[in-house]
Amino acid sequence: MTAEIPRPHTRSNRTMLLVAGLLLIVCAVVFAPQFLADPPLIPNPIAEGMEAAVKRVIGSARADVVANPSSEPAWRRFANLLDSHDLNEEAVIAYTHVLALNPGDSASRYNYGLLLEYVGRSDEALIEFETVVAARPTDSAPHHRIGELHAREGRQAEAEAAFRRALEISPDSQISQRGLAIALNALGKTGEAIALLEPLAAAVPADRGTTSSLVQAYQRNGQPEKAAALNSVLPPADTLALRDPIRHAVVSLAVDSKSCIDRAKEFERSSQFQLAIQAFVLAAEGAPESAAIPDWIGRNYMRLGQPRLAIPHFDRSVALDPGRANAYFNRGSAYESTGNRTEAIGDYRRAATIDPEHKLAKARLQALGAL
Amino acid sequence: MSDFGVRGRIPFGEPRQSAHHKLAFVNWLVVIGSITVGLSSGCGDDTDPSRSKAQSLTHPAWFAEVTESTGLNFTYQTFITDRRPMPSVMGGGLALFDADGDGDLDVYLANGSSETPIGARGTRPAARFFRQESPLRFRDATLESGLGDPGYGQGVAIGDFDNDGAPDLLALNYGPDALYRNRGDGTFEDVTERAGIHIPGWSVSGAFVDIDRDGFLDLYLVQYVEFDPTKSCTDSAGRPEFCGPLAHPPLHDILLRNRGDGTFEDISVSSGIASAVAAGLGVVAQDFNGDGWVDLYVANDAYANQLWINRGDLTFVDESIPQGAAFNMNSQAEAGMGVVSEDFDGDGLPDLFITHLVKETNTLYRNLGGGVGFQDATGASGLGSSSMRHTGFGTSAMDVELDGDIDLVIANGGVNRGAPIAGSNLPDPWPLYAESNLLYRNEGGGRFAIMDDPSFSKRQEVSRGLVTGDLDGDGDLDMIVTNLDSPTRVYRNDAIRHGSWLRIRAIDPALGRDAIGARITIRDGGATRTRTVSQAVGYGSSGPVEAHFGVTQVPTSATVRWPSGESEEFPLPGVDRALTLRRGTGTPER
Repeated sequence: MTAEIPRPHTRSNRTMLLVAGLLLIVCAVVFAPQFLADPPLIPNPIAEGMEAAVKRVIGSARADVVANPSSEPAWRRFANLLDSHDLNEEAVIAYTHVLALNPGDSASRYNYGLLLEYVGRSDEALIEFETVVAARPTDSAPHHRIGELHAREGRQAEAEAAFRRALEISPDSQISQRGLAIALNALGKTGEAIALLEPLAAAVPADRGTTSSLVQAYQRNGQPEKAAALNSVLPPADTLALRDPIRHAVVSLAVDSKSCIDRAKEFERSSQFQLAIQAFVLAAEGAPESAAIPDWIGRNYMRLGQPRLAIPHFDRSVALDPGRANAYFNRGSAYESTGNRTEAIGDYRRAATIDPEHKLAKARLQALGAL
Repeated sequence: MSDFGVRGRIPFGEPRQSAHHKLAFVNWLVVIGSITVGLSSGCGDDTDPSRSKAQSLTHPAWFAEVTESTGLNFTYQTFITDRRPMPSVMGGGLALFDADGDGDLDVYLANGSSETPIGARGTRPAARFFRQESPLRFRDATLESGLGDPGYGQGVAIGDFDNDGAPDLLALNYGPDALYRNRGDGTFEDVTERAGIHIPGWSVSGAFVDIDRDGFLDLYLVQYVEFDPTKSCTDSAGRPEFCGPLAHPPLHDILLRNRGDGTFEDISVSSGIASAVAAGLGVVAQDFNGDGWVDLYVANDAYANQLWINRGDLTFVDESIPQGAAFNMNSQAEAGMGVVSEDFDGDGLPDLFITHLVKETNTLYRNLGGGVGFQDATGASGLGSSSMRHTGFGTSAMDVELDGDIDLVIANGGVNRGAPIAGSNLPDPWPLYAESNLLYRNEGGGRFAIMDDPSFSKRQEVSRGLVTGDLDGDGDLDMIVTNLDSPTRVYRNDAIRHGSWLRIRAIDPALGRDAIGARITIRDGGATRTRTVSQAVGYGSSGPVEAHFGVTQVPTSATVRWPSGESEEFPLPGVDRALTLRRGTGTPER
């Protein structure tokens, strides 16, 4: 007589499993609303010592999320602001919420991918970038990012392919040309790398990354003399950067004083003086003790032909730093523009007293017959 | 007024009572999931997601922290204010060396000050010296040794500059450096002035190395920046932060030639070293191009690294760019901190490994040989993304488990604030800067896998200096790590051994000292193991003068290429022993 081996799933077992399953469903139905009533985890990066403007904008964005936790735009703005201020760990959480609410938001997915790279989760970052590529096949930037990611992980063949895809979309992208050349160099295809880098170095002679890559390519290609010659005229800094509207949209949200000053100076360079003033005003909020910022604001009002609006800012600058010769000179110019000769001479004299080498102040004094 | 203004601050994760939506449930699941993951992976004290990858290995502990029982009771002190003075975040080098010639390793620890980072020399001893009395038992011998250097300590360099067989010490400071001559009995005298050393700037690392092969050790001093204490910096959120190197003018490094009479002359300009300025932090010396002259590699913070090739006539030329060791793979300068040079891939050529800032990888430059130079092999070696959330400082290349190849240990700690470490008992502001350390196992051929060691790589502090040495005389390498404002840690190597060991000293009797720069090669079965006798290592630190090998077979001979260029072969009597190879004798001594 042989004993029957029990089968793992008898009818009664199946019944019990069915009951258990039903119980689970009932529990889920009963308790899920309670869970659903709980709010999402909302990062709070506000900390002592943060500049007032940063606190204000991030605090405001966070308050919007608190008030509307299912609002994708609120989460996106919050995530972007965290991202723009390098609050990366918090931004990763916020972008997770954005993407849960709107999986099709490719811009947020792109930024999320970058942050994942920063926090060392490059495999996940790659998945995010590939998802973006699928959604935006004609955008070269995610291809480029994939190329950079592969290159950093030592997958040069994959990097080469990704950079080539980026260049198929944007053939003139100098940063992708450089990326491709670096990958080729690493793969030992130094001849191809040189063929790419020589015209690129000629086009962007100020870019150190391009020139140094060419130096290495020459060295590896058995042309040490060329390498040495080029190495002796290496430019001092990198100038190429990925032209990336998605990233720019985020970075431009930063309101800390340093970012605002950088942005204001960019506006100055493109003669957008009103925008420069706005950025400097934000910068002054973060750095209220800075004498330079009100001086720069006044200078831009002068460029706009509004000396009366400039004077209070120069006032503030010299009040904060009475030793700032340029602010006196600038205020003197403003007074002179408004026809206030006496005040102008006084300020030019102060500038020349603080800085006896101040040629412009002396020139104005001479022109006004006051030297 | 905004909602934020009405409600005030809402702490991270604080529940809000009115909201109700699907996302909350998703989040709840995420939280439960993450808690479950945390529980299953241990105490949940290391939330580094980059470690949860396939290449992250679990294994019996490699290291045991034994600080308390060793008597090495030391905490690097910092001067910290709301302004975050830059020198306060940079110090912490240390040295492991046999100061008194009794055969074991003693410890010198640079120290800052909680009073002020003034840069002038203080009046009270700051640095500490611990003598090893018995295996892993230390006694504070600072006063009797004369090594309580009162400067605002950053690092230390060890070298026998007067060829009397006893290692001397250079204290590297934010402010004047100081040279201490070993009297031969483990007590030291300050000979800074007598030696003609006047280095008032900011030194972190240094290397004693014979650049002109005249038999006397010259001195290369890495200089950081011209710090302006009135300058304050902020981070991207506008919060006060330690300035980065670009906020202050960089300096050129200093090269002092040993005249052989106990004095040094500054040849920084004539040698070409002064032709480049950068914010230097780490230095290693090796004959990188195999021409018989020792070269220097300097890790610079946010500037191109320098590979100073020795032309043999007391001049150097920086070939870092053509040789591919100046920038990372993307031709970007990185924040070089600590540096080690070893043969990671077993091809007999010295490679380079440099620690960096968050958002950068640590970088491994593989020496391709044949005049081609180096290639950034970080990603291919498995060292890439796992380090991007860390700021590496001290580092050492060591064969932890004696399997013949070189593993990597890295001491981490931020210079920019991050998320605070929950439950940290570090004093403010360091919970914002604390990071876990990193340990990589070489899986052969220079391919690394990150290891989660429950002792070393889980602890979250602001670590700086790291050196390795056989502290307990059992043949494997132990480790000491310094931390800002928290205790220095001693880690005993308890790794399961996969082979045997050899500790080899190379001494040139004609010089009366260790042959710094000698390269020792042994054959371990089909593999070649090469080590260089050098002391400058990692970040502001100095390691033991002997070469350590893990071996899986029983090598029968060792070949020494002496700094003069001559080679000499020594028979090896076996493994698991410490040997001394004296030049010209052809026979090893135990």
